[in-house]
Amino acid sequence: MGKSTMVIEDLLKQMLEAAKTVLKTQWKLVKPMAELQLRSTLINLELIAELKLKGKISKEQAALHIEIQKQSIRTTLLSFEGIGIVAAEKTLNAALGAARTVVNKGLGWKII
Amino acid sequence: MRIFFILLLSLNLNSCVGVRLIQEYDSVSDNKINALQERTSKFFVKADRQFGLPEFSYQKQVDFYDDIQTDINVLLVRSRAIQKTRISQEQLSALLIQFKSLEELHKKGFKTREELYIIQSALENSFTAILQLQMSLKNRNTN
Repeated sequence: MGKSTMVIEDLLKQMLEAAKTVLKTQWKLVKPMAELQLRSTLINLELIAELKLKGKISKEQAALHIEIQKQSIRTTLLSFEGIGIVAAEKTLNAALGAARTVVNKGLGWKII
Repeated sequence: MRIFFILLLSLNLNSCVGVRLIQEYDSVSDNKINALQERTSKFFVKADRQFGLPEFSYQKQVDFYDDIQTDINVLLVRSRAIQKTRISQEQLSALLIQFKSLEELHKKGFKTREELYIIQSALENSFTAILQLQMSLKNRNTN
């Protein structure tokens, strides 16, 4: 297992834990899909950080990419009936909050 | 006594019917979302094939962005006219933000194909989620 895979797995755990804290009883229902979505988002965030390191994207472009990823998590959380808009938003913020420091550090910009 | 009876009857009915918090299934919206997903998929296939060619310049792709954003707006207006569609509206608004961001990135120009792969994967996840909600509404309707 490579170093970046370990970072992704570690971050994923923290994001899932944060989401679980918000969703409580609904967590069991949401977890499988949330895990897939968050893993995919983290892989994409890592690719965005790589593009930045290679000088292929600017801060503004990175922010647009991250917005696209963020909205993807939002639509996924909203697809579960019964969660509601407020809880979906809280979950999104909690999950991103758990990854904020590491992701911003990886990007070298405070974007999340 | 009569009021008490009516109250009792309405309580009883409520417990049988259950309170619906989300919209009914709407086949028109579902079909339009499927069509949007198909058009988006075609866009990325073409983008991969035409990457770096003049055909994939932003100017040559403006129609795609116009059509997609128009379709999402049409869906949003339809959704607002139907009761209890707040969640669908939020999902469509999120999708609109994604396409607007994609358009902005396209205007600035893509330096590598990887950028497109990252966006494609996020959009596919969004469509999966939106279609999943539609499917669960449809299944509930048939049950």
